[in-house]
Amino acid sequence: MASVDQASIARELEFRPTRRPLGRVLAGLWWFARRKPLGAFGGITVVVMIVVAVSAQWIAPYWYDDQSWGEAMQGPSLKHWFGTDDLGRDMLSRVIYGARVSVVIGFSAVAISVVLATFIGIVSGYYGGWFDTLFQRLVDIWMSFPALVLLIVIVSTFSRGGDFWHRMMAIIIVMGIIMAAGSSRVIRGAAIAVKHNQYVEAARCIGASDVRILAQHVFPNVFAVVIILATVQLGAAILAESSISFLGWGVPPPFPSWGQMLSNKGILFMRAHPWIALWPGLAIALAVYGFNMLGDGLRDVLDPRLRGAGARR
Amino acid sequence: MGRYILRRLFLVVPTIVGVTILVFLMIRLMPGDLVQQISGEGAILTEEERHEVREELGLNRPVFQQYFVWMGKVLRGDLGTSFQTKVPVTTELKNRLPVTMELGLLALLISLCVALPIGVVAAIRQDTMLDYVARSGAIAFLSIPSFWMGTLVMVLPSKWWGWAPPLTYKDFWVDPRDNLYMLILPAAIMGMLLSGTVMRMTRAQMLEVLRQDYVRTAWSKGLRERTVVMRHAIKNAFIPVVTIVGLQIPILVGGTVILESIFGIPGIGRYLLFSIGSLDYPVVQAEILIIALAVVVTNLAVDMTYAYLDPRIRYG
Repeated sequence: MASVDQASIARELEFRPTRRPLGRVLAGLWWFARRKPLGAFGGITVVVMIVVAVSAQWIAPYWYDDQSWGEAMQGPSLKHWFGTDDLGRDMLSRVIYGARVSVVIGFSAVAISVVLATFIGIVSGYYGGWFDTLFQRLVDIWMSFPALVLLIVIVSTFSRGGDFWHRMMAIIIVMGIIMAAGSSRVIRGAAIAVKHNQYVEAARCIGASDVRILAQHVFPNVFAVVIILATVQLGAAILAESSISFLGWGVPPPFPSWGQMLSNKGILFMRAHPWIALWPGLAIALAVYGFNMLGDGLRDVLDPRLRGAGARR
Repeated sequence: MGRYILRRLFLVVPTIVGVTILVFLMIRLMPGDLVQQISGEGAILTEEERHEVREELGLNRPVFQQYFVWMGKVLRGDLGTSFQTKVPVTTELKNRLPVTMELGLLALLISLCVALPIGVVAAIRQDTMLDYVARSGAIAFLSIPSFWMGTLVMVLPSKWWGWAPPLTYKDFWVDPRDNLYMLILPAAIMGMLLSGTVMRMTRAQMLEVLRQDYVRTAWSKGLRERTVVMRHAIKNAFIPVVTIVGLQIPILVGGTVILESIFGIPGIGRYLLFSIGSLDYPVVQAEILIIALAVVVTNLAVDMTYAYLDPRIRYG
């Protein structure tokens, strides 16, 4: 009799068979899209941008530096959907190739920033003491600088040769470090909040080492903050890269980047041919908008304080 | 409160010293031939002449000695003389700083007027059409690059209506109308950029406050929505928003660098960009020092206000 009871209890408690990982991911995405349509729109924009950047050589109708003097400064047409620039280069192809610079610089800089900020933030918040004081003062110094000026000065210092890869690496590393300063402070705040939780105390009581506590308890609990920061930073990174390119300190031509396309010819020829500056600017705005929207949606879903619709009562 | 202020003031000094050391080293590491730039592009100089120019500028001494000489002068109120124009940096800053400050204040004002109401309304009506429109609008503001917006404003009206923004700067005290006429467009563009951040912060804070127990109590007392929001929620939600103003200063500076260049405004942003390009060490050092001071002092003022408004900070 008892065994029958146990079997029925087991049946009652039995979880539904877990779906395959792909199914789970798709179900999660569908849930996110229904709850946060704007976030989902942002996500789609981001995916499209990445796909465009990766497959630029297959989807761009022309090579980014194909010059055709006879066709310079033409408006949008069937042959050149976005028109041509002053050297007769196809604007659509240049915008498509330009996505590469934004994606590569954006993702690499944010990767550096996230790793650095998470490490510094968690260690600084968890241990406190002199390490925390020292790092927070360094962050203070770093954050008192206008980031754009810092970026310009350091990038021009460390890319003396001025060739494409040197410049690109300099921008990625410097941008990563600059962004890490601000985010490390946010992650530190989250880590401090987590370390006062009882489960951390409990872990310490059963003799868990600091490394174990940091890796198994603190890190997973600040992970949501890290994800949100990374998404928002991607937008900021793309904006920063285009700003310094606009001012002439970005990746050197002829490889197109959106900001540089606006600075080089855009202003000079725009009065007569506004589309030259229209498309790259739109591309930047759309990409940054996508990342910001995605970040906003993720924050609403991942941050337990903002969950639910009980705002009114 | 007194001890809190003292502790914070004590922390300002190392930050400022750190900033000055960093900028001093960084600007000296920048590539380019300073002596050639000062003597003119075409000038052919012998080694002795180069040595003389460097001697005159005090660049032959070890860097740490140069730093202490400069720091000593700064403490006496002398920010040095521009390598390029030979004009004292203080004179230049005295002319340019008010322009940038006016631009920044205007932008901040515009951003607050736009962002605070939108943020509050978006939070009260979370996940409604209104929230979506307000949020996507504000995030669009945040996503549009200011240099692109500036360029479009310079170009499109002139193409469509034959109107272009004014390019001659008039001092506010000489001609306030023309002055505002010139600054309002760049200020609006910058204000747009800033309002995105402020709006997001306001919305997030409002959402958090609206979930607090005392707001639920206010609702259960049967108070009207207006009273709950205006009397109970807004006051507490706006406290952290104050901090965002401090964090906006470096963004403001970045914005002025770009927009002053586009709109031809004679402020410190455009001057800074020019000075970095021409390796004008004294100007760059002085400007970064001023900017860092502005950031630190604003943050300090913001934190004090914060500590005053929220007693938990003081005793934390």
